Amino acid sequence: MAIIVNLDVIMAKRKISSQELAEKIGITKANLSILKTNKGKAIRFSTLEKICEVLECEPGDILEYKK
Amino acid sequence: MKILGQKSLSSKIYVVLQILFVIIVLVDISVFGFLALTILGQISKNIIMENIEIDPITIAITTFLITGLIALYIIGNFIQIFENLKNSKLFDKNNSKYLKNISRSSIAISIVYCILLISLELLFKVWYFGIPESVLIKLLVLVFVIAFLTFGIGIKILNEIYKRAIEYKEESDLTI
Repeated sequence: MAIIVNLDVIMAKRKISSQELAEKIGITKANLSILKTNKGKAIRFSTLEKICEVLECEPGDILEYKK
Repeated sequence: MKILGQKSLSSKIYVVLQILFVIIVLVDISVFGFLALTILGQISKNIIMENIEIDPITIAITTFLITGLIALYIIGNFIQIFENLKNSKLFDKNNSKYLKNISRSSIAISIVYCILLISLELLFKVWYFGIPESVLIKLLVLVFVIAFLTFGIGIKILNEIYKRAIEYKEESDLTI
């Protein structure tokens, strides 16, 4: 039972690099890597909003619930 | 006054603990030497081991030697904690481990004193102490038992709070 972050899938679809996305949403590349590798404990609404804005997607495209 | 980091209160406590550690080592060595000489003296006087007398002073010295060694371990753990505080490692997981060691050691000291209390109860009947002295000594040992037990349990509770704090810090650090 876990929440999976599918950020790398969307990033690949949008053809955007980690460096570019980190810069656009205003977080460090290290923090983005934590998100991508599912090591994060929580995500702020503000960060999620910026990710959705930059990648033109819905929160459900990034976050997935797996039993 | 600065509490944490270099040239702070914790760095000064770190130095004091190191000095205390050396003092206790020296005291323990001298107590051990005294105890060894006493036992050797008794052995040379009474060639047959069964004739060795157990006097109150030998029991007290043995107790202080054992508790001294445990106290050394406690101070050693405190030194590790204050070294981390000196280096501004506030939420180091090892600190929690050191606190656990301190708590267990403190409870161990209280058990040693508890054994001493029971032995005193049994041996006072044989010894020459009068009622006021025996009550006073037993009361003093009982205070030690309660003090170390309370300290050990108190540190155990503080350790739980510290563990939670580490978890919250980790969660906060991993919130993006």
